[in-house]
Amino acid sequence: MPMSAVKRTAARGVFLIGTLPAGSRPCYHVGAVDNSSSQTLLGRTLATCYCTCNLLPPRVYSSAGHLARRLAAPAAPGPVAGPLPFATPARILVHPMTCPYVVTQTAAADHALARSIDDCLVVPAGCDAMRRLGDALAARYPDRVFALFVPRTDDSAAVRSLSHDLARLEEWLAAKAPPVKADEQSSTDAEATFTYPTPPSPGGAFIVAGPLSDDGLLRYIAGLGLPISGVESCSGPERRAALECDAPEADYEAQARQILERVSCPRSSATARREYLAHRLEETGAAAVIYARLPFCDPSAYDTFSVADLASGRGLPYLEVEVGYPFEVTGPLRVRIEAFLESLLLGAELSELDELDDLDDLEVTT
Amino acid sequence: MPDLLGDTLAATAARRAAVARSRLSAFQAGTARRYLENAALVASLRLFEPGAFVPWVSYLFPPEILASLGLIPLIPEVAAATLTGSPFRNQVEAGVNRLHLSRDTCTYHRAALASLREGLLPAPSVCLGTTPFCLGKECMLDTVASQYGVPFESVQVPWPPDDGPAPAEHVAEVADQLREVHANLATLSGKRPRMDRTVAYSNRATEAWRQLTQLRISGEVIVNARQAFTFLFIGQIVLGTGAGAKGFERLLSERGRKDMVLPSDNGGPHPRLLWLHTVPHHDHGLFDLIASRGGGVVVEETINQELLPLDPTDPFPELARRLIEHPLWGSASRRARLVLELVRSNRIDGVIHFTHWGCRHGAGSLPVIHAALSGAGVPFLAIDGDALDQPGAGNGQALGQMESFLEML
Repeated sequence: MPMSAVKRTAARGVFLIGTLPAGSRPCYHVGAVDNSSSQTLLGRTLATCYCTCNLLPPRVYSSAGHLARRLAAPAAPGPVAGPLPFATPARILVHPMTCPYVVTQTAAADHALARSIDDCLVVPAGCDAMRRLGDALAARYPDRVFALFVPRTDDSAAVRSLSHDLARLEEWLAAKAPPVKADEQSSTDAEATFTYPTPPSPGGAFIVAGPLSDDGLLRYIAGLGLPISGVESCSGPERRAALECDAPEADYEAQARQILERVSCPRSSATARREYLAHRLEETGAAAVIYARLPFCDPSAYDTFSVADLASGRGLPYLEVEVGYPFEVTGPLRVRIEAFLESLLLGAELSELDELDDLDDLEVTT
Repeated sequence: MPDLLGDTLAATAARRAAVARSRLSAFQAGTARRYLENAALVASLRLFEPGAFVPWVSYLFPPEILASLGLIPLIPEVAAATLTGSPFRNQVEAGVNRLHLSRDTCTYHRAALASLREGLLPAPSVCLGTTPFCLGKECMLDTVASQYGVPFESVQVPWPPDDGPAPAEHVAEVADQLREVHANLATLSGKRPRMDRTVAYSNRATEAWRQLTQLRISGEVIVNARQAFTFLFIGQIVLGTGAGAKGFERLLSERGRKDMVLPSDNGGPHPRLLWLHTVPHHDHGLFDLIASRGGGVVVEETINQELLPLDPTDPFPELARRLIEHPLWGSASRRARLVLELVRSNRIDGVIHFTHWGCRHGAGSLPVIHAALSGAGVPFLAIDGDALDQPGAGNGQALGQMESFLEML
């Protein structure tokens, strides 16, 4: 690799390889990552099993003597100062055309794995970038990273494929730590989900997104006067319930089926996902749809097709915006959302005017 | 531009003219590449005829499954590369600009989708995916299937182990899926399977390719890997057909491979380069620069694929094994290991990775490949680019990188 093609960025522990495409923003904001290390439970030290996303229920990671934790969502980016927090900084190479979620997870995982040799990482490889994250970390930390492929559909071959991998994962985790009795198991914080800042109400915006770091987008939109009718995000409020898995522990096939039947991820089967989103739009009574897409995310890019089409079919105004991870209200985003909301407001006012029989009915206020 | 779709007089004439031009070019060249390009074009244009059964398939979908039913695959990536290198390019580009799809996605897929919307490609009758390699292609095929209301089936292929052959149970599992897809396709298309004939044709073609690969590895023949890469794409269309068998067998004669062989005087080109991932299809600037410095891209990554003969009574296990053990599938560590093997067995001086725009699979494996090659002291260059760029389109930076790399070598 010639040095000219490698550039150090302001990221903590992250290099970008190659050249940044014109017009795109480098995604290297990695804030302080607060991943707790091993914890003690009933006098026994539990190693931590980190996971990178909400594709699998936490019990999958925690059932074999590990404390399951999501890699913490980093704080909003700020100036980078002081010593780098990583044990061996700047070791992971990430191409600039990588989604910011994967970039932050790479840095966070590197940090977590470098800190304690007992801890491990499970990577549900829902997309190519996440799968390659698993590869890079597995090469760096041999036998401490387990990547498993998660299919997009729930047909029998897909269910069999995932159930084999769930069994392999259980075996791998059990070999790393002795199983914990059910009554000794600690609660986990493996679902990194946020909640609605205010109760959802009909007639507002329905937000579709991949992973969002927090409820910042919801609060921003609500702050501009448009209520939130619902959110569909893999880190959104409804995801926690979708991660519940009541299939028997040893029945991997039942677990796999249950996991794959839930389509609250943009990478899911197009037809099933479309039906699911149509149902959610109906039940929430949304008046507008906003798709908040992470850059360099293929599943979301194709998901926008369905969502735009669903919105158009229902006559709902639709806006697609690109957001970062962690989320921050940037200038361009502010302009686009405010313009969209203004157009909604204007549209509503004009339709009120249309409803008037006579312009004389219009009360002029000054 | 003339319309290629439909049964109008103009469309029929345009298709016939394209075939005549291609046939003349193949006849004049007399090479395997031209012969196969012509065969692929003639077959593909049948997809544009009214009432044709059009399977949109993954670039790794076993072509024999379709050939046995007399079906011709429409591979979106091949279609995109072909159309962007044709007089239809402007229309494709205009369609891409109109497409409501993020520009950071793979250009092969955006161009194929845009071409479909612009009426430059026939609508699918079925979409068939394979989990290798990329998710973007699966999302695209599924989206197209959903929009056109046609079935989408995807073959779930487990990752191969980092070292060693695919486990027998994985091969059996994938073979079962392939059998099922084959049976479903027969029902959907209403065609009668002729697998015995297809297997015979496919084995003739792969045997010819295997022999050429042996000649390349032994150093007896030095092939321009840029041209060899073309066979990967074309093979996905013609493998399992009579024309495919004849075309590949032409590679065994000197005349048949004359347009892809590099001069071997003075020990052949230096530096000898290994090319990873896809190639720029229309912009030959990088290859011209390498040639002008006396070097040559002599090996492509996919040369590593082992093609054993198909069993005429049950070809599915071997087709399954090929899918699982494909050199680009599996972990980045496996890919890096295979690349290092190629470097050692082919006396490679340097490795180039062409990171295609929007390819998460390619870009994502760079850290591991970079570390493995650096650790082994093998010079490595990763170039960002767009495989569908037109000649000279913004390649200054890539040319600069390549020039420095060649100077260093």
